[in-house]
Amino acid sequence: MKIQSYRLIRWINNFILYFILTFFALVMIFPFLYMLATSFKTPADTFRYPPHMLPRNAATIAVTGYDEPLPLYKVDVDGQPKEYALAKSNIKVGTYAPADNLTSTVERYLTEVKPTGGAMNQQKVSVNGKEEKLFDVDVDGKIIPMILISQTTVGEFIDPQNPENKVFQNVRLSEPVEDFGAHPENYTEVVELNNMARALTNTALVTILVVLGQLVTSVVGGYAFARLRFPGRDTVFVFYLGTVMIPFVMLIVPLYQLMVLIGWTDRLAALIIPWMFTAYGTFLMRQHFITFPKEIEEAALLDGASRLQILTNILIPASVPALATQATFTFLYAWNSFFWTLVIINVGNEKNHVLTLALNVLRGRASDTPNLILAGAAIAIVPPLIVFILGQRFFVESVASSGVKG
Amino acid sequence: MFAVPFSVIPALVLSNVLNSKLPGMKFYRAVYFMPSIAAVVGISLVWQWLYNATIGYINYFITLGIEFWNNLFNLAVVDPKIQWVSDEKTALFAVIIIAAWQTMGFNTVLFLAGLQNIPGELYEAATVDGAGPWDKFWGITIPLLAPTTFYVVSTTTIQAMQVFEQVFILMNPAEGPNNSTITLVLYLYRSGFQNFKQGYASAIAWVLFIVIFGLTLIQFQRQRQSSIYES
Repeated sequence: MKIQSYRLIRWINNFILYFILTFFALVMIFPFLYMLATSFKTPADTFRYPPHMLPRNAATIAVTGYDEPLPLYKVDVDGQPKEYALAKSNIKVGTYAPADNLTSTVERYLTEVKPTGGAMNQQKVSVNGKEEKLFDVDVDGKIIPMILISQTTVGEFIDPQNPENKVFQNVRLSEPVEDFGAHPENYTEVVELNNMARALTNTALVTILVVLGQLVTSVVGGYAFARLRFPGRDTVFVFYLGTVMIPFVMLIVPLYQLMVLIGWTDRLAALIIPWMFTAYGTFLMRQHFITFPKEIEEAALLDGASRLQILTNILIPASVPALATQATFTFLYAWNSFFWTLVIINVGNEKNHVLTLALNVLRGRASDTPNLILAGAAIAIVPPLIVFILGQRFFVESVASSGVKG
Repeated sequence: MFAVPFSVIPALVLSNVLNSKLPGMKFYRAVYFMPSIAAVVGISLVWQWLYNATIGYINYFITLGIEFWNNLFNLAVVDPKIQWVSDEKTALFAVIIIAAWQTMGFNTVLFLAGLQNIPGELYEAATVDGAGPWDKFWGITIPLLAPTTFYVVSTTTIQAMQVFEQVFILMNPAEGPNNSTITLVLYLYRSGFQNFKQGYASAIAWVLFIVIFGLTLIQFQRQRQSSIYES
């Protein structure tokens, strides 16, 4: 009995834990899902209230006797909800009643009803002190002169299985049937509309070069600081590492003026070259190389290997996880950077735009089509997510260790 | 900067939950991490539409919640229909929510690492002494997690002080209604690169630097103390 209740308590406990976790997971993931779902919608669909998640299309159906597929609507047939196709819209219907009995009304198409006494010489009757025109209305084969009380526009809805079954009702008040319909063409449209293709290649180019550059400089620099002996090495290292303490905002004005000086404003080089050096990465590689056993290197040196050969043949293959971690970090940073690009790249010069800048332009240009904006956002967000999923193991663990060791 | 408690406190709770060795925790950890790696510009665009006063999901959820509440207790609470970004009172709060949402997962992972460094024997000893889960949390977890907490709080603060993209994208103009969402970095950008008063911009950068540097120094000192304490 006791074990039973212990189990029950543990089960409830776990249930609460998972509930909390799932709730927060939903909060975290919802904006991403919203972004992806909306990026596949039509513009009209995005402005609907209440909002719905999945992209929808108005459903259509092919009916025999009609060339084009007809839109489907929900209609009420003898009290039963059915899905009928709209065959004809804009049919004018009048409500008619005899002048002496206004409550007994009939509904007829305006085209079926002829004016009493002919169109040129239409008879009139006085109802409640007002002159009303008389029309010949056919009721069960008998022609009765009646007056027009009101007039509406309806649509003709037919049963798709049996087009003989017809229902008439107001089109605007009818609810269309919708089915799931994604619009991947939003992506091609946004790429064409906004020079996004160019921005995407630029971003990829910048990111790859920055990642490669950082890897090369931090491997070479880290090795020099770890193994080579030269005067003032440790002082230089402390100064180099000290630059980690300087936040980026401090650098932005001097860096901008430097770029002006060497004429790199509005050039992609300004996005690449200054970012190829990383004190933090060099520090990490140095720490990594220092732990590497010296004996292996000494043996290689005795065998006549050069320093470069040692680096490429022994050290780099042995430090793939560390390099992968650094590459993931750098990739995310370079791909997502915005402030520096905003400062250095001219907004008007679209051929040097990177994705984040293009998104900023798109935000102003397509503010009435959220589907396009969010498609653009998805183009910017999905590649880092993929890199994150691939490099997750390295990434999350290294963040964790940075928090413990500092 | 007010984003700090909103980001840190849920992160602390979540990390404690994640620390329970149940299956699937790695999955949740990865999900929580997602916001912190996505492009801030893209994220801000997404949130801009979520915040939309008429068709946005956030107001829709609020409406649903209020309807549910009204039906449950037969009340007539009026739906506020918050104009998130164009109302002076809520604009800053909207930015805070995004910043907190974005840093929460990162902080959760940091806390988790700190938690896993706490020796399990302490908890066992406490259980033997008859401590409940609540006592253990306040008596063991909080004090031993203090170095991590300090690290998390100071890095989140440093990040929060450099907020720029969120306001730049979300607000139109970026200062928000009545300058309610102006940040130091935005001010720096406006004065240095739009009004071309670069000296003034440098002065702003120095102010920011001194504050950040001070925080980092305190953080280093705390870390040294705690490592002496440990050894």
